[in-house]
Amino acid sequence: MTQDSPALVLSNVSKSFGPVMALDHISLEIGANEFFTLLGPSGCGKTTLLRLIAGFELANSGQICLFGKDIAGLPANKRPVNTVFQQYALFPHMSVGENVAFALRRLRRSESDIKKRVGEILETVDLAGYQSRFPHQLSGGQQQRVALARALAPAPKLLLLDEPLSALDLKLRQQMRRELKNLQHETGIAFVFVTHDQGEALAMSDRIAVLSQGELHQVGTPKEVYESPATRFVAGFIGDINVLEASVVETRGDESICRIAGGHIVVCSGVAPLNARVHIAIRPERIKLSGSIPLEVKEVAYLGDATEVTGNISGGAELRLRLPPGTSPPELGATIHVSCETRTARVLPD
Amino acid sequence: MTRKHKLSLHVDVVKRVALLAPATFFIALFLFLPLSLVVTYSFLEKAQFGGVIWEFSLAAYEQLAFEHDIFTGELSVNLAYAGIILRSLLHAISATVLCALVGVPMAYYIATLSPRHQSMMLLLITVPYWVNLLVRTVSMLFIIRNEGPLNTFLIWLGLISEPLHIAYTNTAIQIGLVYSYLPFMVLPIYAAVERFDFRLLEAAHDLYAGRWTALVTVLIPAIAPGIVAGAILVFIPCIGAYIAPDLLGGGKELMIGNTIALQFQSSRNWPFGASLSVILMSIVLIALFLLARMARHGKGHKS
Amino acid sequence: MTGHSSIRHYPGFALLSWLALVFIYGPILAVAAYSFNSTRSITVWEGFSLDWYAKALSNPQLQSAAINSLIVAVSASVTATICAIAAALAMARGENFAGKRVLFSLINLPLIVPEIVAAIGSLLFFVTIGLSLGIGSIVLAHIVFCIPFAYLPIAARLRGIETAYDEAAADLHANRWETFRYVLLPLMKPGVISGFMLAFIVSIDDFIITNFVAGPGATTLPLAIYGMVRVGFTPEINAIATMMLALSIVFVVGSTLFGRAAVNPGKVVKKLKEEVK
Repeated sequence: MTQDSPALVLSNVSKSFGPVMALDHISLEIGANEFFTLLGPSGCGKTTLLRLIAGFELANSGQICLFGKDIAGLPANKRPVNTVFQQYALFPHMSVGENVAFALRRLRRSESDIKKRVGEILETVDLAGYQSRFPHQLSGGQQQRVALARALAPAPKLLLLDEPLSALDLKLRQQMRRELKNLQHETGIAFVFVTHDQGEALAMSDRIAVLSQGELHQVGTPKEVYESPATRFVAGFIGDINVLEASVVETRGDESICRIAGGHIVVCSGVAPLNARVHIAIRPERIKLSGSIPLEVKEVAYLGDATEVTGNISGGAELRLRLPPGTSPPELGATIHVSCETRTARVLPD
Repeated sequence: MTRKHKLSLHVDVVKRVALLAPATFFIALFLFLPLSLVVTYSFLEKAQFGGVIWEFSLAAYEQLAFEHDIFTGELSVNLAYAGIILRSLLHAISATVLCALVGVPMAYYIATLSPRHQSMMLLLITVPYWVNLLVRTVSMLFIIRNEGPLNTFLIWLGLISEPLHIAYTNTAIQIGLVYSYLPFMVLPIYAAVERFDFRLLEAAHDLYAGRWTALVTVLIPAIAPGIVAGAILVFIPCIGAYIAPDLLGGGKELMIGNTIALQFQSSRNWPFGASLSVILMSIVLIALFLLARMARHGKGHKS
Repeated sequence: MTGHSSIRHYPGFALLSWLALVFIYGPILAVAAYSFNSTRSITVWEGFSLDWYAKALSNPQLQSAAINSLIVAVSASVTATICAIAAALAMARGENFAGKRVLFSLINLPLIVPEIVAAIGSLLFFVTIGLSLGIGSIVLAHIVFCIPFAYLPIAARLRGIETAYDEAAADLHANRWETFRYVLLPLMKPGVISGFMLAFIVSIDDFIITNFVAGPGATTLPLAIYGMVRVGFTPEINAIATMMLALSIVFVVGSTLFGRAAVNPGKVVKKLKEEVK
């Protein structure tokens, strides 16, 4: 088992519930030491996919290979995969120690082994000495650590996390993000993390898989997914985006020269056929306060760490700018001239 | 689907059947089968000293309405059993009506109490129901018999000079039936009143309806499903009652339940007891069917 | 203009309700009261006395009836509870399967059939298969109607236990039996106790069915009381009746209390304000 071989390979996995197709031929690979995130809005199928990997649902078709072995036919309790549930699902009638020891007991480890391992893993999650407490005596953050400890105790080959941070408030969530990242590095096993929060996904992941309505739109690093969105959905879901209609007037290698309403030219990355009508995506922070495109300012919002300017360009389309702090904002109703930083606009495939 | 998938689903079915087996075994074998046996026995011939002869006969059903003259063998109409069935129906209906007359005001009153008092009152009403029916009926008999506290009290008050002979009459049976099953009426009506929007009453009042008019024209129709549910839940045990007519009626005023029992005790006519049971079960099934239909209609209605 | 509350108020309803409560509780309270009267008289109260209780408790017929009742009730309710647990697991866990409604009707069938019909049906059945009547026949007949009474609180409790616990247990390498034994059963405990208590008291209290399927010498408490009442009222009957009343109330209230226990003690609400760590 080398570091290079992927931990999980999904090939053409599909799942339907009656007439509803929850997952449509999903194929992806997850590395052995990766923090991998499944990202998408509710109903996109990310939780279904997680449950398929865990074994709580059976796929209709496709293969699920864990370190080369097809586990699609294995029941959940035989898979070397463990899950951290969204509501933690800690057994309320058992102490923290008993919860964490649960899997080890089922695997028939010796009592001394169990005691040692429980102590170890509780220390890893910073809950040393909590063995005899009960779940209802703990705060939400502590409960989550117990859930982590419980899932990690039997040393699974893959850890699944189903929106574990959604029940926590903002400050705690940020703290737990760092801790989860560290935990993944420390344990060295692949984490598969499900969330609908794109900011969280960008901050924590090595790679992100973006899903919508059962389809896989893109798999890539946070930078790839943000700067080079593969589809319109990804562009709109991750971060803020401006989408404009344009037509391609020239193609140059992996660039396309596009003309937008009003006759203005934008140099975009991405390939498209000549004279095609396309959509181009521009990040608000990539628009400069100098250039040739006139913009009538409608709204100026001071956000503290940035200033957001919204306005109309010729043709009626709306454009949002994000100016760094320290820039003096334009006046309401004024017409300013803007342009895109080169090659930051992107042609979106339809 | 791969073959392995099919295998794990199959195992699920087997486990489910195994889990349901014990309960199903007992109920199917010791209730369902006996009930089928009852129906079967109703079509057999009676044996001399109890028991049956396994030969087909409709005598048990014939006996419901006719009798053979022992000398001439002629068939003539005998209304005795029809009378018993009729009396049972009247008792059950009358008890149901009485329960409704008490139940509606009572349920209404409880629903207008504060929530804490509501649950307390409901508890107060339901706990006695769960107490031994025999003991409760014995208690009622204790009260109303000639030497009992009720008569003693009334004589002491000077209201009567001789004890009221309530025990062992139809009146006693009525009292006993209402006493036994009143909670069954109160609870469903309470549930309906709880869902009722009291502002409708105020709206009616606004339109110059007096409170009693509002009661009849607004409240009653709105809680009608609850009343019907309560009525059927009272009717069914009443029609099949055994303890109340036996203890309080002294075995003289017979209902269907006692008549059935009699065929297995002194009368020794098992097929006839079986045919009477079939009649009783039919009445109960009809009542249940009506209840189910009411429930389905109720679900379709917007409140 | 009249206030809102007055239109909802119906004169006489409150009075009627309280009279109804007097009607419901009067007879049983009277029986209990007279059981403590030192004389047999209805008209005269001679003084508080437990004589009749002593008499009832030392009555050999009542003693053997009580023992029979106990044997029958324990056997029937334990068996019924086990059947009910198994049935609840099948019904309350897992998707709807064909025949689920039929099975639900079957489990609740004993509640619908008039007791007299069930009684003679059982009698006919035992006679037909040649089973001699005795304690055993009573137990078999009791198991049947104890099952739905045990089932209802157990199934209700099981439905309240989230399937996330089942999944977590499986995730942590437990098979179905281990999930049941270490996770479900402990969480079901209050429901099981509630169902058992209900089944127990329903068995102790049963009269009609027991009357028809009991063999000679297999008298239970309700049968004994019935026999005594047939002869004539004595204060001893008041005493034993009051004891049975008390027993019923204790068991029913106990069953209700167990049925109300929450699954998660002090369950932490999702978005509450967290203290750090």
